[in-house]
Amino acid sequence: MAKQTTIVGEKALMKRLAGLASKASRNRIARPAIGAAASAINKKAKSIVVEESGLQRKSLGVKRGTNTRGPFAVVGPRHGFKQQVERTMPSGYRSYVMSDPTKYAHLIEFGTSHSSPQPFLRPAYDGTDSKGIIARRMQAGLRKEAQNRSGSFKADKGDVKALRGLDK
Amino acid sequence: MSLLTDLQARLVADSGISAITTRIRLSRSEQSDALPRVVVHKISSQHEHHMLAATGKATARVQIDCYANSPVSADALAEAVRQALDGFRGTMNSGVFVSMCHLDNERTTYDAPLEGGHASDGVDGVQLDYMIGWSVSVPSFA
Repeated sequence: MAKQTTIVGEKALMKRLAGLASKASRNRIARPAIGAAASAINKKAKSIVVEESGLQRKSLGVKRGTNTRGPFAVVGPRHGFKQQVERTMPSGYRSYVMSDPTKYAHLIEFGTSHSSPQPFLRPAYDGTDSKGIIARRMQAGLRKEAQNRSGSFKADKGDVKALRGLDK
Repeated sequence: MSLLTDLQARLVADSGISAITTRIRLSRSEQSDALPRVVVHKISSQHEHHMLAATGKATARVQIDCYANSPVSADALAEAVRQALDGFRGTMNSGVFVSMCHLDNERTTYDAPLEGGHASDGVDGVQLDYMIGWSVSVPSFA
């Protein structure tokens, strides 16, 4: 026996879902999610980075942005931290030298032919559940976005007629 | 034996690598070590758990540095290492089972010589990042 099902408000629902899929809406939801994951990686990197003067730890930070492919975040040493710090020189004496973490952070992370790596970014990335953080934050963002949109929802005349028809 | 020593043993035993070098070091190389040489570093490792205990599965990021006198030699050494490891699945020397061994990233490096040295005295290198999944023993608590 065939049964007929009527979906009331289908057009409005599809329109609202299509609205959620807009680029602006997607970016609005994804931006804080990616930022939160990057902050977690940054926090972990700061906790494991090797420390001599503390300059590199201080320079670690998150840069957020949006390009044509969508929102992104970069974790690493930032510019603007070049300063004189006290370091132990190869001779064994301590001396003040000009240091810029953006010029040497990669050498610490990856090592060189004469110094072993002391990685801080890759272990932080590997040890952080960044995908989980993004998924949870995007889920919450999507829910919030859908709730915000429901305020402007208006049933069209066809929906009202269909609902009246169901009451009879 | 650990994953690193097993990896070292595998690289030493590989005929492609041993034709180029037999200097396979763990975590650090000696200052007197000549080129070409390979240095294996463990960068990070994560151990999986279920609700009650460890699962016996672990994943590690291992960096393998291939250093040589010229970019061509460094590249040839890196290729020999890739041939020995990329996509490997099986049991290692000490019985460690490797379920996954994927080349994740590759970088070329150049360490300039000290002041006064000629550019050709520098050290060329290729750094390979491998993601390796392997089985570990599950601790039992009596």
